Amino acid sequence: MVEVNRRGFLIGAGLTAAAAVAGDEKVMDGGLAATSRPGVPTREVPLVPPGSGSLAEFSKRCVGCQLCVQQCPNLVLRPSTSLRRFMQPEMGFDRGYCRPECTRCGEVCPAGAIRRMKAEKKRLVHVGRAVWHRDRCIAAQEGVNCNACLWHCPAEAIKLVPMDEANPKSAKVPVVDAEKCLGCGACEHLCPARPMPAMTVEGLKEHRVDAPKSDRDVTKAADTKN
Amino acid sequence: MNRRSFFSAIAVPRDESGAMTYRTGGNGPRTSLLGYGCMRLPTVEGSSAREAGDAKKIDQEEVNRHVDYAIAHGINYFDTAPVYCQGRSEAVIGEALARHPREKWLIATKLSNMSQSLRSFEASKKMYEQSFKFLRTDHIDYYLLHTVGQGGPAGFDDRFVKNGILDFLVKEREAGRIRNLGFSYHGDETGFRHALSYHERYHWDFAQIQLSYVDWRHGTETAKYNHVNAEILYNLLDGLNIPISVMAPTLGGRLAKFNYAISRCLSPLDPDATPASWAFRFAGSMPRVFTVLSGMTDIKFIKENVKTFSPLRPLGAKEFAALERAAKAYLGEDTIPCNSCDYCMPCPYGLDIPGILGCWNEAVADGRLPDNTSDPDYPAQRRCFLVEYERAMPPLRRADHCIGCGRCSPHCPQSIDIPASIRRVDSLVEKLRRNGRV
Repeated sequence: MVEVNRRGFLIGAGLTAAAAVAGDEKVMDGGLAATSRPGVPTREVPLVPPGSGSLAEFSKRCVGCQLCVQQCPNLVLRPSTSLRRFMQPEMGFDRGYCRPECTRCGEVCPAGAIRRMKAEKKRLVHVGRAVWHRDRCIAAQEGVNCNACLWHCPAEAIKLVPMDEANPKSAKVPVVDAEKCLGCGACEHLCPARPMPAMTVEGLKEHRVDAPKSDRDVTKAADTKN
Repeated sequence: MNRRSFFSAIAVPRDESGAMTYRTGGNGPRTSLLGYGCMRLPTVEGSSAREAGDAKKIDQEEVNRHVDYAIAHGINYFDTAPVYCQGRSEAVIGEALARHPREKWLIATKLSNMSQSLRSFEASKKMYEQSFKFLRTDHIDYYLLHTVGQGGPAGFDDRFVKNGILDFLVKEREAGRIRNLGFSYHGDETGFRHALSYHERYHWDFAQIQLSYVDWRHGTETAKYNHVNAEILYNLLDGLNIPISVMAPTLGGRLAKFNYAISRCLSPLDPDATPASWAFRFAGSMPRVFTVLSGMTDIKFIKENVKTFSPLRPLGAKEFAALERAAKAYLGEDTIPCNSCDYCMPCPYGLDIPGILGCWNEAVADGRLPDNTSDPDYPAQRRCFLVEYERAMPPLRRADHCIGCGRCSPHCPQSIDIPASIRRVDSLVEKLRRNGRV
């Protein structure tokens, strides 16, 4: 239960009212608002692609040839600048996210650092977990009605809950089911908060692979969004 | 040939004079049946001002050429508004028109006091006065209350009656600074009857409605439209002898593009007629209509439309029936009723809303929406849709960046549930992407 005192309530109400007025303050038609790419957070544990098993294993095998970086169609992979893993790829979500149907990096890796796998298998691999930052979330801070992370999560790991349990009409904010989260970065990439997204993905040192479900479950999971 | 037919042939040569058709619309000179709409002015890059975004400038030279051509070919009605083209439309068209004698053109502009901060008497009056400055004139021929109907009857009273601006505008009309006072309408029948209930008190000289062969009898057909049949509005105005100007005769260009379902109904009647000419002839055939507006971004559209209206050939019964069939065929398709008017823009999160919905509609019009995986054409349709989609918008302006805040929907004159429609496109794109590589 979130405690709301009088001051907090009034501030919240004021923010919501301000947002509502701002929403109506459209004086001219047309044009496009300025856009900027989300920032890339510094991660305690870097993210390495599904198929690499673990960060340690990946660091040992990867030769830094840049084939996967060059081939990544979603512009997720880029060479690391840290001295210990110099030129070895890591994931970032400023230009895209690790899409569920794509297995390109595993297909091109010549060193066996990223193992080849089918898209069905990739959906079972967890490489990271999403973390919500209340101080950046536009729903929590500005009362904006936003469900970008919920809508785009391919693993259905995100649910929205009212910020104030007693008030179902209060702004809805995300909670992450770390068990389901794959670490694909859809939420981080598509979060509207700037300069830093309110959802960021932390890497898992050891990747986790779910037990394969029956074929039917896998297809079902893939189809739920459609 | 007998004597009578010989004389009638040389006296009135079946109006093939090639001159523009004119009608009487309220007070003042007769208006050309084709009016020049100033919402989609051309930009330096050659696209319409609605497609272009902030950085691109309206092409003043090109607008001048448009106006010169239009006036030389008999168009004398120009329709703008303070909010069009991000607020630049009035000044640009004002400059172009100032190069011609005042008696050559009639100007229509609007009171666009939609947003809360502009609803006070002072703010509305300021907007009205600014129009004179931009348009460089001492009188406005047609002045409209802009998008009446949104916000229902209460919205009308709030924007125009309670703040006293309408009383002021009536005085301005008495003083001769406004020659015709009217309103443009987007909404349901209740709101329309409410606006008409003020006819006795204020006297509407004209009214502007959305009228196309689809809106005529199918304005309310689907929930998507949430509107009223244009036929009902037309008859209400006709009963009160109020002249009518027509907007969106081609549904913002959707009926002007090739559409397979529509052309199946219309081509057999006249294989050479363009899709747009059918829509214009439909609107122009209504006797109470005094001008049909068209936002012609490219001079080739002006040329084509001038041909349609010089003179207008009214539709025959057979053609009416064919257009009704075409309307039904069109509604049978899964079109999102977006007319690209840009009232929803800018989206605070940077999306190109009309661009996204346009991708869907173009695929529907071409009969290539990839909605059936067992269709043998599916792989080609899928590829085509994704390529077109990615070409149409940069990544940060695509449907996946919609956060579902819903700030756009109240501005839509077509009452589209915009977030739901954007998410429909997003779901399709997501499905297509997951179904293998492009």
